[in-house]
Amino acid sequence: MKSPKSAPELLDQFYLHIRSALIETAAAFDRIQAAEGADSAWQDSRLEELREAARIIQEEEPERARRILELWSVKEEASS
Amino acid sequence: MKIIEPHVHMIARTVQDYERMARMHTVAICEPAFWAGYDRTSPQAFHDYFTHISEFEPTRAAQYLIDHYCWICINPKEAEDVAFSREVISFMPEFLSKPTVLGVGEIGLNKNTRNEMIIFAEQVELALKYDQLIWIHTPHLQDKLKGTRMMLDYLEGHGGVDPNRVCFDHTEEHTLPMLHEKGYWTAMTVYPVTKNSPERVIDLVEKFGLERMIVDASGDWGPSDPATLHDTLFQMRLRGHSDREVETLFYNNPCVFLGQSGKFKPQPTF
Repeated sequence: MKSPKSAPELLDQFYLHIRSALIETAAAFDRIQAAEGADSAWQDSRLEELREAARIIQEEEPERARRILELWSVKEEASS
Repeated sequence: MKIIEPHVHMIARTVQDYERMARMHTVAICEPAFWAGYDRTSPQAFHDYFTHISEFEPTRAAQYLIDHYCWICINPKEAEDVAFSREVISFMPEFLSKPTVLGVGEIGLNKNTRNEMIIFAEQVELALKYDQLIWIHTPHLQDKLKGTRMMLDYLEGHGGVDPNRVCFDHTEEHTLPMLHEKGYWTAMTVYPVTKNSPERVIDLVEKFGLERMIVDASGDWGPSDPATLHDTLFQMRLRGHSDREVETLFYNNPCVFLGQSGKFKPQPTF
């Protein structure tokens, strides 16, 4: 079931949404960095996972959403 | 076009949500048994809860011309205490025979522990014994991938479970493909922050097709909104899909899956 819309049409449709999500992300990083205790927060592994997700977005390989969700999942060998 | 909401916890919502859903052409909703936001203090509290969702909630819904159905189970967030859970399971059969109870759900895993898995398996057996449909909760966030694989492996290894009578809920890009490939129904939950957005749900539909796909808003006591289901319907239209395809996803598909219970009244339109 392919998208009825072409890629340029989808870009037109979603450009401002993507732009908004990216600027909100950048602003959130700035907010954390500017606040008291930023040094320790900056080492939090969750932030590193977010940076890694940002790297995945820039890659040419598809299925970025799936790969980011897998990055954020507990590893299979870990037992509860 | 009529809409079905396959997953909403109306016990946690106001009548204004019934009114909003009715105005947005929702004609039937399903309420799986789940956590209340706190751990219940006795098995009897579950008996009261099951009575509420199988008897009282349908009367609230009927005031807005909505058919209310429910699922019964001990939910995964309260399944760590095996003895406690077994007490709850012991009186589930009396509810499974009620006219608006569609099956056993939402069973599943929360932190993917051994005890949660024991209770999941025992409730699968109960569903099979009473010829019930199964609605499965997959874990949140980082536990979702591992927990989904654990339950899929169990069901595939069981040998007696028909995938067409099981729906895995809260699926996303990393869990939906393995379930779809094995013939299970998959539901995608649309939340304001976590789980899926309307855009991602339609991405998944475009990639995997309409077959055995369901969408829900899973409104409950946390950040959630029944209107996200209708936001997703609108997104599907914005993306250029036909009315027939939209109706398949938001009405006919739930009719087909839930209709297997023999109790769900809405019928597919084509």
